[in-house]
Amino acid sequence: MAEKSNVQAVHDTLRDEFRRDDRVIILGEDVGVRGGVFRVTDGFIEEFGPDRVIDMPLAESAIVGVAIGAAIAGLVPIAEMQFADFSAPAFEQIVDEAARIRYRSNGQWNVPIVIRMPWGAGVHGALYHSQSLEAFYAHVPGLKVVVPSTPKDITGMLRSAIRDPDPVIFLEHKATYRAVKGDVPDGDFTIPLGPADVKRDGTDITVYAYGLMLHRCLEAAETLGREGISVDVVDVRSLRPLDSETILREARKTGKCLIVYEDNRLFGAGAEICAMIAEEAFDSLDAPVMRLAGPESPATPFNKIQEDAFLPNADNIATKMRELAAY
Amino acid sequence: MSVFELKMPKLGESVTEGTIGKWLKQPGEKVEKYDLLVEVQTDKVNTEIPSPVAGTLKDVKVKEGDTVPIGTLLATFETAEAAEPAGERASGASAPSAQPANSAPPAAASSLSSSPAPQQPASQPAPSPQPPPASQTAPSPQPPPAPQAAPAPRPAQGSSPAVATAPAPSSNGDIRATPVVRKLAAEHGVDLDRVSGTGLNGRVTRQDVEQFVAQMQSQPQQRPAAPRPAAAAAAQPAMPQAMAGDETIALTQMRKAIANAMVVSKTTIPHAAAMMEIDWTNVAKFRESVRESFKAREGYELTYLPFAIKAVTIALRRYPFVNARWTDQGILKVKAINLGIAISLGDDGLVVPVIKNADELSITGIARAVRDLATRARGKKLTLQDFDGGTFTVNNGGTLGTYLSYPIVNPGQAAIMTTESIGKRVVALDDDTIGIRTMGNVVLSFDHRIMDGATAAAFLRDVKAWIQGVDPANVALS
Repeated sequence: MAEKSNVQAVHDTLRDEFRRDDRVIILGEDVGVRGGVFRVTDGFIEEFGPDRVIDMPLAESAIVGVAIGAAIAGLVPIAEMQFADFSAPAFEQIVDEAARIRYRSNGQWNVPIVIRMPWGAGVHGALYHSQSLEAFYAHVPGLKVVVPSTPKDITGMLRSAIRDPDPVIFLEHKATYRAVKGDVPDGDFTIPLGPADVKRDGTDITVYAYGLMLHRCLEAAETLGREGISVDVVDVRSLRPLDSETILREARKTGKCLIVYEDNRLFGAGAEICAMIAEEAFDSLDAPVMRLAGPESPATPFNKIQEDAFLPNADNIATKMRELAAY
Repeated sequence: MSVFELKMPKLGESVTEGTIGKWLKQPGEKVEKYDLLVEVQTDKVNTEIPSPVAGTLKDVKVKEGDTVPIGTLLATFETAEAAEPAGERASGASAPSAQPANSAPPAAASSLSSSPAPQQPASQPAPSPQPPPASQTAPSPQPPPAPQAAPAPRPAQGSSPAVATAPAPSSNGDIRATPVVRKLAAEHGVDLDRVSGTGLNGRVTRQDVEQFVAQMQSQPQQRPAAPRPAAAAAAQPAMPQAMAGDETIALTQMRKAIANAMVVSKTTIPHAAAMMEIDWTNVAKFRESVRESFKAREGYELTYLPFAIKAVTIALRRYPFVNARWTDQGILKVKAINLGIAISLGDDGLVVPVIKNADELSITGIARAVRDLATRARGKKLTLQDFDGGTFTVNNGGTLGTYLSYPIVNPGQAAIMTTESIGKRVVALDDDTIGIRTMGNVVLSFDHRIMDGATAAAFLRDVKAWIQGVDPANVALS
């Protein structure tokens, strides 16, 4: 058991996988000599050499395209988008190619790649370094989209993602990189890509979240606990596949559900969770399913006051939780 | 020709029943749409129900003076229109809805025989010598009081006790039941009208139903098999026999509503009170200085009450727990400041209409609002909307000369303040002289679950400071 930050967990897991399987390579901007802008691949080029730790030009479509080709040829590539925001040029490669090759080739080819994307706001990153893109990718059959938010989950799920035979979008919330720490069990454990995880057991209301919002929800749940309201917090750490069993079980338990996400509220991942609950757990609902999410703004603002107002925080999450509990 | 059934409409929030006054049309009479048909008295207002259809009044099902729950069949009509499902026809836009409100689902009765469910079968003899009218076709006569409802002393005579049970402040006539609440209610045969809601706007929550069922199952005397009349008699203190010359006054709707609200409040809210003495001299001087001009402009005297109300609205902003409500989920701090003003109607009772968003009004605006409510209250012209949404109550008992009174918190609120009589008294002043000052007490009764004495005292301290700080030279009336 060791205490690690989220970013340390990413670093250590990648390094262990590099050591375990020499087919594993990484491609990205500044992943080599620089060791990654978040220091995720610090020391990699020295240990594993430039054939496995490949500095790529500023062309995300090439990063993913080369990774797809290398994967089909037998390697296990990890494509790093320096920021999730930069993945737009690679969208075509991810959605039209990586996600469909198994289908298109009738199962003869598959693409075992992991596309890592630091995402999310809260680091003063403004328009090009703050976006939430999970809903775009979670919309696509053929991809797996996971959003682990604790060092343990990151460790277990990154191992599973690298060992998965199909493309996985691996989202790492950059505001939690150093802010969130936790214990990671020793040994080569894995956590399957799919199951949600109840991070806090409660009886009055159920709250669903992932990424930075998970941690803010847990903070707000503490506050409500002191007020006598018992909040159940479900970590939806995999968006595709989406764990309907856990989501519905926890919804039926309290009958009152809130989904918190920092993406724009309309058409976000929370809408899908909301719809699933409304369709499948209707008979158990004791309140309208509620959502708290980012505003209808074209982008995350740079100004700190505006950025703070943009993101749901523990205070307004707690207010929303009280509203739901009182319903 | 088709038959139209007129049912007792729901006349407002928290209104669960009405007493039939005079039938303005008689069986056999032709009726035009919107013709006034019948007078109905509720615990808050009296009104007349217009006919939702044109046709001939065929049968009157409830006689004058009877009290029936909403949804009860009142009369049938023959109409020329094509048949529609009776009771589902929408009434005209200006007419009260003739649709039955959500009352006891008739199906619920069928589950009673096999389970220890709470409801008393309709056929159970009521402990009153006066059986319900044979013609009454209410979906289900209201059952006896729920355990958490007020154990109101039942009148020995008067209207049928079978219908006089729903606690007014927590009734759910306008039920918006969520799916899980509907499902649970159906599974356990629970009539949601009988469950006090602790959710938003009194909504019955899943927890409320679960607790109701648990309570019912733990109370064997509520089972239909139990010898109810004897048990009920044993539970009540022995009452002395009425003597010759004594007279029983049947309870009016208003009296019943007051009785229910008071019992609910006194049995569920742990009351505590605090009193503070206030020097009204500055206000008195100010009143004197504007007496003529105010009267000339507004047409009536400026009293002390608007000043007390103004002080309260300002203090409520500072002490949100005084403008709050106890719920099972926690203390609901209410944003709006809607002040109930207790207005006595003498022997007829008391009404508490509400000044909505009182914090937005000037002294003159408050005076006008109080004047308007009092005038309409005495003229019996208040509407149900006048009663909705109160968050705190001010009671001006002092006009009758009281020096100290102990008000009861309106259920659903956190506190009530009385202003006691204001008059000249000899007072030791700060400079060690003796002066004649205009003094009066205010008393705050409060729900001790929501706040403690320190909050109550701090609230009163701010009320006092504001009133004493009125500067005759510099106060804005408007």
